[in-house]
Amino acid sequence: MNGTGYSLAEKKQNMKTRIMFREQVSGYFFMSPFFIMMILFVICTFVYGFIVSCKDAQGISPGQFVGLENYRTLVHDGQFWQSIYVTFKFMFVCIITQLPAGLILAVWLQSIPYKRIRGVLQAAFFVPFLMNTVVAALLFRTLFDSDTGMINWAMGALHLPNHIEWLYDKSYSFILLVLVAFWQGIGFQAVYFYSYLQTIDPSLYEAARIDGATGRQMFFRITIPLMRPAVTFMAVTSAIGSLLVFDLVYMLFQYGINENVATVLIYIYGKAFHGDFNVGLAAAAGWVAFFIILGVSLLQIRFLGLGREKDN
Amino acid sequence: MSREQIAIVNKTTNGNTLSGADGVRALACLAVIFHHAFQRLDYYAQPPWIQEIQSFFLRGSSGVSVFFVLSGFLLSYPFWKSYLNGGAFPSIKNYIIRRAARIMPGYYTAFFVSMFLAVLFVPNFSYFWRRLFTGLTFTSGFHFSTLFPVDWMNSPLWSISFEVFAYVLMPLFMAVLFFFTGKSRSFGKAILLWITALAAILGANQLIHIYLTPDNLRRGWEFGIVGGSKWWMPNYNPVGFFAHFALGIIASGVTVRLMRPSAVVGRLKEKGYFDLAAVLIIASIVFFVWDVRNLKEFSASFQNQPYFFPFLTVLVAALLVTLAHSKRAGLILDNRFFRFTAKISFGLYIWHFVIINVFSFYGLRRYHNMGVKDFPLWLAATAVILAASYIAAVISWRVIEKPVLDRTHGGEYLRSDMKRVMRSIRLRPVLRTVVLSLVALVFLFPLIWLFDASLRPPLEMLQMPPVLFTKPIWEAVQTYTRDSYVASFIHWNAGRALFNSILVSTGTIVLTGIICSMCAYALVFIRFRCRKAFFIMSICTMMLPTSTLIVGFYMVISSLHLVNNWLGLILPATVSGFGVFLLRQYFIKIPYEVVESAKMDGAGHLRIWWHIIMPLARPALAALAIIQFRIVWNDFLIPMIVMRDESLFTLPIALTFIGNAGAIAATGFVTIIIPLVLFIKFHRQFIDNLTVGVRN
Repeated sequence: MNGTGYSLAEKKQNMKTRIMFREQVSGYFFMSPFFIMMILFVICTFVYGFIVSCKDAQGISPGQFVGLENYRTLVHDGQFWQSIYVTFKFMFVCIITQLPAGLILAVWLQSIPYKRIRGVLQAAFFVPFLMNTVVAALLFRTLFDSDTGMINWAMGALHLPNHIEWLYDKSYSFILLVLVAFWQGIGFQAVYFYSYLQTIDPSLYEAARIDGATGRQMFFRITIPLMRPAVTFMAVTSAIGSLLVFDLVYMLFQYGINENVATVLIYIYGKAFHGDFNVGLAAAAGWVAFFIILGVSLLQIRFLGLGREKDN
Repeated sequence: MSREQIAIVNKTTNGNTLSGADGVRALACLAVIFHHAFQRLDYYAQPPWIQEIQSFFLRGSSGVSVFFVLSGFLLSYPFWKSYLNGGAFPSIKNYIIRRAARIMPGYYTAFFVSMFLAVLFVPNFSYFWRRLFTGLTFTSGFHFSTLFPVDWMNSPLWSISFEVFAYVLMPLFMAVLFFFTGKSRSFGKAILLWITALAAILGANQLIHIYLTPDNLRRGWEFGIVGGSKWWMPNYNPVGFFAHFALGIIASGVTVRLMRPSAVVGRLKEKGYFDLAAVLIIASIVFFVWDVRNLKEFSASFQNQPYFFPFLTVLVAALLVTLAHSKRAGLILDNRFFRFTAKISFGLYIWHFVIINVFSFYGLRRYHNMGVKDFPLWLAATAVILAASYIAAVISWRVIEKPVLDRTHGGEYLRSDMKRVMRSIRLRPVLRTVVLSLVALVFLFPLIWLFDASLRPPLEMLQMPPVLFTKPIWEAVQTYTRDSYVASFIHWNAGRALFNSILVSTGTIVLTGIICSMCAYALVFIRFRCRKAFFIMSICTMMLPTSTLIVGFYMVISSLHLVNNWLGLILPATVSGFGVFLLRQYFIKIPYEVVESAKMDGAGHLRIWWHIIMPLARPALAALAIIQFRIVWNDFLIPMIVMRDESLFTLPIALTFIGNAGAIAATGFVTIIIPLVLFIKFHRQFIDNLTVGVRN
């Protein structure tokens, strides 16, 4: 017994709560920078965005509170729905073209027996992905220019129609957009799939080969099922990426964005910072697009079963 | 047909058992190559004795005719053998497969490569689609517009379609022979039929001359290659060339007939009369060619046929007969070098002209028709070309022709299925490598072009066809200047933008590393309430499509007075749910005891985090840094909203304000070269970290 009046057990208990308390405090302290930033730049963005969407703000004037008027305008705005349609069309085409191509490219890369060449090829396909989108867009603008571009020259040399207005024609500009997105995106997908392929146990193929399976059978029965998580992940991320495409379209079609390539972000940016400066409407459009895109990606995750994979 | 017979057939069609055939093939092939090489020598600048030699070798083009005789000789051999020995009609399926396997792989490869080069290098390349179609279907020889399927890039390819036409006709006539003679076969009947056939061919050829001679509009070599083929056309035509082929067929029949055991032939053979005849024929061929060396094209021939038909053709056919029965001459001709040359002769034939063209483009520019005046120089250049052709032909044989031939060779009969499967597996990687390399080249092309454009004077940049293609590389490089770089840095403030970009990315990388690692540290090593909720919240920021809410974002930035402020770019970028996730996955792997023992020593969390965990997590931090760098360096939308002052623009924004094509290219190249260099340095870590998201 000492004279302090506390029992040892009490003291221990006290120490423990004190430590617990300190743990709590330091926990929140360590979390705080991230969450302060998050509150500032995510939560506040949400709140401000919503407030502005309920005002008829024009340019720098804050505007009056108009309730859901902006949303009503938006629902009747054909341009907005056209941009949503274009965005989803773009996403769909991107996934359809890039995923299979990336997968095939990865499988082919893996089947190359020369290690050095494989490394070089991998890097070569990856370079466009590293390239700045603005630079890529400007580059393709010059290459696809209708008068001085190299592509039209080459098509002329091949006796194909060589006066295509790639940058202004409605249907060709969408093709060009998909083409550039393919060029930029495919390398990342291939390299990603390729590094995932390395995790597949080669003895599976060995066993299948002994059983007399053909290359195609092995691809569809072994590779595809085992690659499922990677494919799902890629499908979701590239879907979000292509739904949020902005700089590529903005730079590629600089001075004449026609409605066939105007994606939803172009619409929002145009409404807010260009032309009519209809900030309120842009904010409302932003929220609608936000939920549509979020919903689609959640559906995709559910549908493709990424969550399930994580639970296991 | 028994297995052994087929084996023999396969061997003979390879040309291995008829002595002398390889030697003649090699000589013909070399003659064609020398013909094309001597075309490059300036006739009028040479002393008379070289002129004479040159005219003699220019007649080497007749090697093509020799090829036709040889093909007829060797291909009809199994038919004759079967006919005279009372056998059945040889398997036509086997014949087709063998021919296709022999011709198609090499021809198609050469065709596509030269087509590609022709599109790049031949100015005014005309009739592209027609040539492509006919070139692929071996029908280019039927019209003057397509006679040379890839223009002058690979002229010798014209003869392939003629040859294929002969491949089709020969078994048809043979079938007639087999069908009509029935059981009562005789050599006399067969020769009679073939002589009738020859007459019919020549008759048909006469009709072609009468009715199908092209008009004289733009006809002649002075009108380019299409005019040239128009000039060639009635004289060169597939039907007429079958006459060359037919003479080879007749020679083959005679050879087979002489193979019958007979005392007379045996004695002649023994006494070396065949050798003597062979030598005499060779001498007369040389003499004949020497004699006609200065005659005009299409002279000294029947029906204006090329290559001195039928005189030279008959001599060659007779030579083949005598060589096949000779004791020594055939063996001497079939020496190792000629056998080797004969083996790769197809490759030599289809590649040497491409090599000559590429050499004249990238090597000696004067090496065009009648271009080289200096004889020793020409000799050296020709030696280089000959060596390069041999190398190309060996590669073509090893990589393209032989693998396919091996698969079909005995493949149908002699090899087990297992081996065939093995072979097909080994061939595919090579093909895939080639295909992937070509695709990779296409993918890299814009980058190469950007580099080229950034160094080119702006006027040249817009020149079509691009200077890069129309001149050899060292000449194309000569006009390079650094003007565009100077302009972009002095007039367009690229240096300032580069500095801004570097500043923003460095700030973002450092701050993200600190903030995200603190968050992840708390999530892993500190026990506090609502940990899981915080974790889910931070992960969620990864998923949200926040860039749709740019209006709200701009409001936040402006009310925090961060417009035109570095922090306006840096701070928002630090909210990286992915960074938290990545670091958390890494921290989990660090054993908790490390933290525990540090605590025992009295270290606080701040200390443990900074001095123990951060150094341990260096690889993950590096990965995060690379990913953040890529995002911030390339970001466009947020800087465009936040930075309104021109002096604060980052590179992507600054790029959009540059009005000069050369300066855009230069700045663009500066913009992409930094991530590229970083990637080359760190690409292992980068690619390894790509899979983090899924592997866990």
